[in-house]
Amino acid sequence: MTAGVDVCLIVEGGYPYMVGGVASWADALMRASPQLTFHVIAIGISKQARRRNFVLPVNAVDVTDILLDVCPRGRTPTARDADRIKRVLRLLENALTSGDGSNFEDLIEQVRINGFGQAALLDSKAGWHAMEEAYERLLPNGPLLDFFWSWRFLVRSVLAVIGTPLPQARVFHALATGFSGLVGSYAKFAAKMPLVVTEHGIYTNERRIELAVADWLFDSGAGGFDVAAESPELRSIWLKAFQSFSRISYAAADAITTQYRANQALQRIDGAPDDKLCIVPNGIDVAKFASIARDATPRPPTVLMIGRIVPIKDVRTFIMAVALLKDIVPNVVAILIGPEDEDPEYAAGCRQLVHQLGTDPSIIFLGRVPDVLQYLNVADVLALSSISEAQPMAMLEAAATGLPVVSTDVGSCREIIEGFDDDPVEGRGGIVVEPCNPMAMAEALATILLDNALRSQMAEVMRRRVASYYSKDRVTRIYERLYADHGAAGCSCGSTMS
Amino acid sequence: MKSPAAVFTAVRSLAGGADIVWLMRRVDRFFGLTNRMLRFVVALLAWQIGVLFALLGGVIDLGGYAGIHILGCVILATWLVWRLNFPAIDHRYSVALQIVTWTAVAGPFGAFVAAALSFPSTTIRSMILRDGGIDSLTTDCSPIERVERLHVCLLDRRIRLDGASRIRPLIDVIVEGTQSEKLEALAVVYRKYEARLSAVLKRAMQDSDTSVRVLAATITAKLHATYGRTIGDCEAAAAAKPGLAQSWRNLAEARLGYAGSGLLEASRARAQMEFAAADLTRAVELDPFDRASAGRLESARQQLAMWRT
Repeated sequence: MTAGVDVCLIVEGGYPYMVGGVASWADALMRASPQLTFHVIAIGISKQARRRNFVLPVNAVDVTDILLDVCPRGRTPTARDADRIKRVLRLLENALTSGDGSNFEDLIEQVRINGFGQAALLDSKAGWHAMEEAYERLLPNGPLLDFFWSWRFLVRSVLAVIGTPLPQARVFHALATGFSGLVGSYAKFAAKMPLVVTEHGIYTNERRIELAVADWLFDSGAGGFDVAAESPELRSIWLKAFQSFSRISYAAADAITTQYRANQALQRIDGAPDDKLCIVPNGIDVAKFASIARDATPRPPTVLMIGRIVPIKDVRTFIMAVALLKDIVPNVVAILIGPEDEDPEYAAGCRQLVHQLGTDPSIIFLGRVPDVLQYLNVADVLALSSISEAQPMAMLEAAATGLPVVSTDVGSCREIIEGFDDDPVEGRGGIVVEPCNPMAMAEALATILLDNALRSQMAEVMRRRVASYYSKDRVTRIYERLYADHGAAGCSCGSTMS
Repeated sequence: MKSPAAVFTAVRSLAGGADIVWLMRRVDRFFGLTNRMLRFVVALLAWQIGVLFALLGGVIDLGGYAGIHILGCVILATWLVWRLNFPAIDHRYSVALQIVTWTAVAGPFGAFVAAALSFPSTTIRSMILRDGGIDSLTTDCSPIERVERLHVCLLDRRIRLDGASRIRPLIDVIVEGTQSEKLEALAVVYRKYEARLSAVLKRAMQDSDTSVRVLAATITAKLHATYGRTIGDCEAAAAAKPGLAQSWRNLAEARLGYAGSGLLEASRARAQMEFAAADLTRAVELDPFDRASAGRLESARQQLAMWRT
């Protein structure tokens, strides 16, 4: 436990253990403000490897882990606790379904007063009966066993959150809603500390998409092909819980930031109040990237892709696009930079696909590299085939070096490539294509690779746009001011940040 | 004569047996009900209307009307309640009791409304589009024959299930639904994917809502990955045992599945088909007596020839 840091960053499933966009962003945020001290709360589960993939910056003084599947045992209940257990579990059920901030505050208070934990709320007879009642309300006629395990995880996770000793910090900053936001809300309600919530991707939206294709959740298929059937399914319970966490987080937050306008619209739909919303884009060290001289030595046309080899990056589409591109630009070389250890099966499948398509010599997997800069200056175009993104740092960095981009139409990629309303820089810095369309990506890449004048023009547009809007200094100043405002008196972010 | 249990067991062995049994029960119930119940309702209505006209025509006074009405209803209700106490309760008696209760309350109007409400809806009638083949469903053939005929009619789409048309086609949901409906429709597509649903996925990729596009892309990527993984596994198996015809047959089937998945554009589907034809050729070379592979090869070649022309 640290005594009085400036900011407590709350990160789910990432920093400092997993490499990814949000984790890198958190690391960059702390390094950009060396005068501030940080404490990191890392949220994960017990089976997740906790080997640090980041070296903590010197101003990050400590890391607290919250394991969602491990909660305090609490005191052993007596027969007289039955009603209290029932009442607390009803509050907990509401926290999982209603999104009511004051209900969550009551729950924190009741758990604290009664000293309840797993022993009372999950392992007791009263806890079992309360679970049965919740089952009747939430999943009538559904599979009880599946409900039991879902209920158990969700209850444990909420207990794990509200059983965590909070570090002393001037401001709590949750880097998502969901469990991060719930921890932040706990800090807000229990310690009365200001809370800033930053959403890169919209948590409920991402979970909704994840749950729609989740193979680990039982689905009865009772609705058949009827979308309006609304048969009670287990995934609706999970989705409701995530939506509830978001609503609690929005209610508790003093300021809610995101990186682009489309996300803000989704936040409003999920119940975020207008007066708390503001847009803060990602920022990069423009000067550092812009200073890189492009390698002018003769070489084959080179396409670069930077990103983890995971399904969400849809590397398979990129590989298929390169296979098609070879028909138009036969000597093209594609370089993939990114770790393969997060989903080794998928990575192996990608290599297998390269082999199937007979593109082995043209596609090079480099894995994790110490310095990505040396590859940025020898590439002709950056490709991004992701299915989902927020505001990819790799794209901003490549753009700052003067690299045109071909990207799928996800997150704010179109905004970065084609500009936005009131953008001082006009023109396109690349081509936006439909996701999962290798042919479209191949054609876009060919268009840029085969036209030197177009490539130079796009490179210039990208360089200027990134310098004017996505500068790290500007973004750092915005966050420091946000911390100062809320750490001082809890004043609202409002329009000053927009 | 087979016992009802044996009939239902036989019916269940047919494709979609449970649904057909349910449907047949509804058919039986409907026609069983109409024969006697219809006579009962007609008689009740005739009695009620007759008494009402007698009152309006001055044949009886109001007191007489009330007496006949109440006494008649009480006698009928008592008899029906008595019948309901029999060990084998008949559904028709409770329906008749409801009709009598309504008649007691609202006279002929009550009888009319109750009869309309108590009868099964016209479900069965609307289910059966009358043509030569369907009429025979209600004739005197055995239950199992009726089920078989019904099954055939379902398969060749001469009958439709009532209410099925109320299910919005998934593509319509994607075009004009709300965001949550669209996401739900895509979840259905993922769980029940078949080639015909690829149009829904492709339309969803063009949607104005980012979340819908992202989910459609996620599903597409997952489906591609599944097909790709299956092909990869079969390739590895074929490479490990190149002398085994079965390995090449499996690989060809995996490729044909991918080609026919609706996920690939024409050129890539054709390429998969060509690979599959090569794999099947190899399987046939290794096992010349494998007629199934030869048949598959022939149809793959025909398909490829059709594409070329």
